[in-house]
Amino acid sequence: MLNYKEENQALEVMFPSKLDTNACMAFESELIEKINSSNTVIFNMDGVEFICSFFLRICLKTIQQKGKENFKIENLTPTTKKVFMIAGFSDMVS
Amino acid sequence: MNVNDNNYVEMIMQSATLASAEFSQLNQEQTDKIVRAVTEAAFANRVRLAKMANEETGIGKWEDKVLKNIVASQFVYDDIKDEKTVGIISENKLTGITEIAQPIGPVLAIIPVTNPTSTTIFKILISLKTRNPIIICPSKKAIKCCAETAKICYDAAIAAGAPEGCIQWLETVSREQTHALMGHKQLSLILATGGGSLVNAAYSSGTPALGVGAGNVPVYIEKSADIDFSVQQIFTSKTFDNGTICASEQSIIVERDSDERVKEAFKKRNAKFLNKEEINKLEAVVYDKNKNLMNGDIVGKSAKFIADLAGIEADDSISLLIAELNEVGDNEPLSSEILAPVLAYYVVDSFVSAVNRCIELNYFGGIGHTASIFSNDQEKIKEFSLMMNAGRIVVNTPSSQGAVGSLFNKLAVSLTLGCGTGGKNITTDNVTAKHLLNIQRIAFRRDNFKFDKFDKSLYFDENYDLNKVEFEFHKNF
Repeated sequence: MLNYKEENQALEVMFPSKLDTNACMAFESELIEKINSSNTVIFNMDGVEFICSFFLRICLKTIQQKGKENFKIENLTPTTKKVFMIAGFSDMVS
Repeated sequence: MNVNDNNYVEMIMQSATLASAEFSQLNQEQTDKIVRAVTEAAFANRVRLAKMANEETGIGKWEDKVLKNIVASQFVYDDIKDEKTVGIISENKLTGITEIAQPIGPVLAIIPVTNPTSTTIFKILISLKTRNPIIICPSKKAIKCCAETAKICYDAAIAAGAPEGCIQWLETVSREQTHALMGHKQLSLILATGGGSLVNAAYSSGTPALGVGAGNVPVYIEKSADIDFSVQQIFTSKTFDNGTICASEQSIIVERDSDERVKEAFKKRNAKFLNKEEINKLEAVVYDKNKNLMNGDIVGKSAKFIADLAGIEADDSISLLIAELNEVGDNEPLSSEILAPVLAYYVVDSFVSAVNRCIELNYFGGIGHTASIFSNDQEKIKEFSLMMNAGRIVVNTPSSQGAVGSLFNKLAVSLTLGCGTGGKNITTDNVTAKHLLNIQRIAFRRDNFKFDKFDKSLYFDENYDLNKVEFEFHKNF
């Protein structure tokens, strides 16, 4: 369901277009495991059209674990960017 | 986790904020599906929740609370179901104004002990309709029934596709926690229905608030009214849920010509007119002179219960306690708001005296709330209404049910009745879904041709006053 690129402890994650609760629950443990074994993490949001609050919680956990300096959210559309802004991630997506 | 802990408040607000973010992506159809599902769930549980509210609070009558739950679910739904609350909601080609509805963000709902389950259902429905997460903060005396109501609504909302955390509820309540929530930077609005101190706290929190004021509803039975009909309506309204609705009648004002017939009509319905000694006894139990407020222990109790408490002899069938008074104000505690089957009663000599008495009552603790008149004289109805400071003046209507809309008129259905600036509120409206939206306006260019062709040098000619300028400005030849 998720695609990864890993290089020198840097992890880039690509997601399906619809990040609803069911999809997030299905990949959560796998994703967390990958994140745990990486130094830096990039969530590449290219093609993502819907983000549920469950996914936003995963982002929060990743920030807590890696710190803002080692976590990036990239390739947002205006719609998904606004979702992150409403959720209080303005530092991460500006 | 300690529910008084700051972390608990942070957890609630974080959950609401994330729900807000998810909610912002739902379209009208998805939103309406959620609202329908929650309405159905609340309606299906209307009796059980009414009984729970009655048992937990000891206030009112469960049968009447069923009707309140019906109003809060079926009638509120009917009122808001067709409203556009997502995206572009109107386009006016002529003015070039296009309106966009945006959610406001997390809402904190303060729930009163008098109408706990119905107000919870109502506030949840209007919040979900506008894609706003809501946090239910119940009265300490109604925690269980509010939690159960919120849970039923939440389960239905989630099953219909609503975001996780879209409805949250407090299972313990403390002043500190409520204040921390009210002032939280991620909270967008407080829907404050409750006592004066709580509403004031909401306004002082720095978060925008839609509050309500206290009521003290005067009811004028004008001499052209059908007296038996009027008394029947008042009786139905004031005894409904033992008088717990803030829009319920508090004082009856009649002209001397109608006095005996009004009294007979009340007596026919087992109302008891009290003598002076009984009035003193009643005052002692229904009013707390230290707090200058009704005694909370008698709120929503039956007339028989209150009569027994006061040591007033009364049959089991007694429906209302009525005190004939001559004054309004601190010297007559029964002229203030009493949320129980207790009425003040005034006899006056004329229409003018009646309106003056109603003004006194209206300004004695009920500014901006509700006034009521029974009359068949259109001019007098208008004259009376112009003199009242009330968000809603109900005509030939039981005021409890009339003020909340839909059953007897076309007012918006609401369990949060704005009282305007007189009641220290921002609106006199019946608060509903439209108040929980940020409306954005796209203003397409529409040149002002009058300004375009107007000789602007005239603005610098001090011989041209406003009248002359307006003449030139509007000249179309």
